[in-house]
Amino acid sequence: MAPVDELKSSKYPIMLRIIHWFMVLLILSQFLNIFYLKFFGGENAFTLLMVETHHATGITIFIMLLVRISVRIVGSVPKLPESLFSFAEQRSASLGVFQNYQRAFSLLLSKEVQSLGINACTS
Amino acid sequence: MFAAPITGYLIMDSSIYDVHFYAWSMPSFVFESEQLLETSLTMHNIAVWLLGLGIIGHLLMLLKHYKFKRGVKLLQTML
Repeated sequence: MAPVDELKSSKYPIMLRIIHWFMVLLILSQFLNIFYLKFFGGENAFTLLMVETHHATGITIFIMLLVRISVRIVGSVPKLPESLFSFAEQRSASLGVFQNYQRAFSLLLSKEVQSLGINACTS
Repeated sequence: MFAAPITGYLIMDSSIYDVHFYAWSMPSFVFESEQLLETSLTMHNIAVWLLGLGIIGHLLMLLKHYKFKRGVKLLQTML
């Protein structure tokens, strides 16, 4: 089967696709929201509404991210054709993603943040 | 993607304001702290910039595979 046919015959689960595009819209709205606040925001009720929407949307994105990872773990995903990506490309992509997660967690759990949290709790 | 909302939450939590999720009040995990607020703000900015760069990279890779691996439309798997 040609790579194009393989890809056409397999798609991500509908749940993942809905979550993906909904997250795209939410993340885009977050960037537009903060862009508006930074350049046009004043001290008025609409600005306050935008700020509150920014916070609520941020939490929504976080929840959707957790749901998406759960669906990804439980559900099946289309297998990429081997002719499309070489073995080295696939392995290096996996390694890159793993390193990104590692960096994000290291950043969050860095000693600086830990000490700040402890200081905040004790003060 | 995880870092941006978490640091955003920390910003609100460490400030004088309460964290709201639409009509609901969210629990507080840290006390008010100017230092934590400033660090969270810096980390939130970094996380958002990295997220933005990641999104651009994601789109560029999609374009690369679309353009240079002729006929292959990865986007179709997500539509």
